[in-house]
Amino acid sequence: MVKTTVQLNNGHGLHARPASLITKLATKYKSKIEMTLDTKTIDCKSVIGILSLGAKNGTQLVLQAEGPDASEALQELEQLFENDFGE
Amino acid sequence: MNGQIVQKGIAIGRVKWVKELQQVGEIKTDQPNLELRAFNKALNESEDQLAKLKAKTLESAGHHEAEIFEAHLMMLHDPSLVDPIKTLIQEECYTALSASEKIYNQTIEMFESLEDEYLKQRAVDIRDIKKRVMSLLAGTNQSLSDSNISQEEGVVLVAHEITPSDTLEMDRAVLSGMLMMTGGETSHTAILAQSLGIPAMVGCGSGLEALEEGTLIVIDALNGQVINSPDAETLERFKADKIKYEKDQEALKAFKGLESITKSGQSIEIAANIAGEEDIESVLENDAEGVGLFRTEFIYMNRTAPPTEAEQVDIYSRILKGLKGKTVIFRTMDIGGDKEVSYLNMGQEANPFLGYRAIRYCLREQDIFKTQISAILQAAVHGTAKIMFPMIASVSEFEQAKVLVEEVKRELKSQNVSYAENVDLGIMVEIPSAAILVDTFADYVDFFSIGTNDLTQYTLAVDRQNSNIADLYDYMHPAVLKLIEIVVTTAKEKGKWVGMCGNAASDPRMIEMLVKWGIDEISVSPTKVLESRKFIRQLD
Repeated sequence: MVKTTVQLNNGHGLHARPASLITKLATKYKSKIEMTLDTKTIDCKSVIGILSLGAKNGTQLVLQAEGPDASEALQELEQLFENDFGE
Repeated sequence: MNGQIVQKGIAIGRVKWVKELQQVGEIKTDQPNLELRAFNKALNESEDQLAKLKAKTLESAGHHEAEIFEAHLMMLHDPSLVDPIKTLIQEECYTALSASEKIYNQTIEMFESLEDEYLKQRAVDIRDIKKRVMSLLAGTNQSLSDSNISQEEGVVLVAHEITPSDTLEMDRAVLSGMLMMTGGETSHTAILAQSLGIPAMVGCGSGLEALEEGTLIVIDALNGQVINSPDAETLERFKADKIKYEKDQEALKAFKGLESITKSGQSIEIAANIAGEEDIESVLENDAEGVGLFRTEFIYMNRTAPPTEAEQVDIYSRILKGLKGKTVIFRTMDIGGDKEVSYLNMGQEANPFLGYRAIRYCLREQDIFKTQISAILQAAVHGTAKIMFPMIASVSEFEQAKVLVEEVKRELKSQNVSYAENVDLGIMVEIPSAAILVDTFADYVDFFSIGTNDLTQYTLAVDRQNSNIADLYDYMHPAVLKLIEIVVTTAKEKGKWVGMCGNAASDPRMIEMLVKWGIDEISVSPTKVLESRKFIRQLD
């Protein structure tokens, strides 16, 4: 299992557009990919799950992945956060 | 019957009720495999429908609107909906309908419980998906356009809540208006009504139940009224009004992109008054040159606790970004008087308009005030913001507010938070004392904006909410005009920027005088911008 912490810096928080980008990316991979905010953990392949976190700008999120392509998946997700979802 | 107007205009048409889903409850089956197959089939059919709707919307409304259905497509197959529904069917022998109802409702409740206003609205998306899937399962999926109503007369959609799908599945050529009982969490439908230009009102309440399917009604979405079964004379009058209104609107479009300038070359900025994010579209659509009054107190209303700093930074940033560099004047919260907010515990007063309100409250409840100032300063890096204090009567009040702004800046700096250093600070001139002392104020403030609503009520001692003396309330009273003249001419002599943001600013009689006195800006309701520009361009 691989794990990393990212910070949300896109201004609006995790709204529809960034959430759907995460989901689109996660569904490309076979691995189980999860995201945790405080005590709540959700499946990144569910856009509703991501929205349900209600993550605001500036919050820290823990990403973790388990499976054959786990590290590639995390790397790509991390990039997405670092680029502020291309906003 | 009254309602809140989301798209202005007049609509005449026959009532078409949007069918509500029947409640299902918990029903078990002894053939879970059949139910599972039915659910999968409903998902596939929903997908086809949504793909078609998306393509149609792209053509009829635009990219932004089509994205609504792109989102629905994505949520339709979302594992956090589909997986638990399938589990309920397979393991607990729920029928497909019963399982869907349960899981969709849970998800709707989850979204409604979130704090973030934007995320709350996603409940509407799930409701829309729920309706689509469950109608297919129940076999009641009748397209709204299969209507037996004569389409020549046009159709007015009426419902508890109209979803974007309802709106876009209707044939645009016959859809003349929309009425909803609920309001608030309906931004999609409001945006759609606006971008399609369909007269619409929301928050009409249960009074709508009196409207029978197929009866002819008029939606007067200029005055916020619904007329049920109008007589021939009334109908003719509204038909004429409708034609005139549409013709006038069309003619005003020619003034988009033009300068607001008199024949002799004096230019006046025409800005718009807004209450929140939902007004951005309208500001851009009507080509306002900026926002002369952002009534920030609306951010504080209809909730149970004040918005947090982060929430305010988000909202203000979105507004500044959305307005693409246009200047926004933030009026700090003007609570009290006629605008009550329960959680602020301001108490009942005998004379609330003369009482503990606006800046008087903010200078004492400094935490709430500083949170707002901090949020504005942080958001201001995304555009051009100015800050304006309401209900200022004395120079010392402005000075105290300014000290707090400086304090907030120092705190932000020490925390290494980015913010805009140079934000103009001005006052709203609405208490006669500020108008009389404008000469002194000019040495302290960066700008003035005249608020005619309060200035009139305080100058004439007329409570503007007392209908017994409504005839005494007159912003064209010579005393009010004299004060306005003093403010505008003195500000200009002293080289200070001066605008007007009250209702009077869109009255042609007032505009004519303001232009003569040399005003820099008028701020009016977004829908009055083009009218005002047309008028100014006719002045010498």
